[in-house]
Amino acid sequence: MWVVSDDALLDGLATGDPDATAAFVERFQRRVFGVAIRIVNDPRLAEDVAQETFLRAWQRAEAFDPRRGTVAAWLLTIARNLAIDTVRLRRVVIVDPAEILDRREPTGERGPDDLALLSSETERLHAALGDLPPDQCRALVLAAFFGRTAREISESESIPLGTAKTRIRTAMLRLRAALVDDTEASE
Amino acid sequence: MNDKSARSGCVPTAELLPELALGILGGTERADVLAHLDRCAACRDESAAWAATVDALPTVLADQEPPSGFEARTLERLRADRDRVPRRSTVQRVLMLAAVVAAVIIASVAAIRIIDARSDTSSSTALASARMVGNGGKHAGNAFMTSGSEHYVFVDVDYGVKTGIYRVESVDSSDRVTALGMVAVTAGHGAWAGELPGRATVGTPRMVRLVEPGGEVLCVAKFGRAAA
Ligand SMILES: [Zn+2]
Repeated sequence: MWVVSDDALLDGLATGDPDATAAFVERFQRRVFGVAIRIVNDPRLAEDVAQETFLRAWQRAEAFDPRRGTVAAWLLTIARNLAIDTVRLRRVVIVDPAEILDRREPTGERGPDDLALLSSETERLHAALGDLPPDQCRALVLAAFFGRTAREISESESIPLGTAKTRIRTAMLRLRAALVDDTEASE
Repeated sequence: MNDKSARSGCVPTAELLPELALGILGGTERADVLAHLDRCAACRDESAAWAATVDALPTVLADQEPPSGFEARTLERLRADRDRVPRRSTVQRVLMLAAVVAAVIIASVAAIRIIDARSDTSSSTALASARMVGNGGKHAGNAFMTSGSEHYVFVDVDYGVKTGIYRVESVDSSDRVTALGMVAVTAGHGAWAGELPGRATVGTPRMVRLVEPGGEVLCVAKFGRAAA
């Protein structure tokens, strides 16, 4: 069966084609909702965030730049930022940072771009996260998925500010290295 | 520029670029990094590489089946928006306020006075908002401005602008341009908040705009007469 690429679906979304719009939502809803629910930890709020994500994707589809990354990364980054905006004002992170990285079997339809990516970039990133020392992983999750600053992390983890900054930076260096290795290996 | 002062700032800047890309760098550290990026192309490239790393992060979160009816409700909402039904959902309003607050927190500028201005409707201070639009009327984000004895300006970039470092400028009614500060856009997101210089030197802004390092205007938010 012919499978439409993510980029082509996004183009269809941008032009307002009803079939492409429905296919776009169908293809990405589980991933968008997955990002939203893991960060906000509340089904109703997660649905609001996920709907808003699709609305913004539709409004900003023309701003998508394929040279900068995949449609999935772009869309999930919108979801991540919206979810962080809604939880940033909560004083306490109510989710166990380690738990949001729990892996389940992917569900539903995936496009050809996803299938290629799953075996490379995302897998490499996930493996790199799994290899991080737990302290670094916690700091990274708090920063990347809950928008916590180094100062906030130093306070919640009861560690010096310099230690919090080092944990974030070291974790990020390892993740970036994993992505670079991946690019080189696939070329 | 590759002069000595630019190079000497590369080491401290490099240490902070991951936090900048994650959107969690604030205060003077953020200001120092942005000032360095404005004059150092090598660190700008490095900043873009970190932004790409951050962009890839949400792909590791696992899928989850949304509640039943999600797809139909989402499509209905997109249709309503397409038909230009003028409505703004509660969550959109909450997100808009959250964006203002996030901008204020990140910029660490006069946070309490700004939030006071937002909630105190009885005072003479009010918050005006304007859409920032780029070439061809493309949505780029929102700008907010308080009116009253002092002007605070917030800029919230919203997926319509590519990764980069931009100058925030105000233009007053006599076309005087004032550089307000710099905003970093990574992963489609960027926020800036600050106070306008004193009235003696700056008139009431009629527009706020983002300008590329090369001087090209990227997007503009125009405030109506009522807003100023
Ligand atoms: Zn530099």
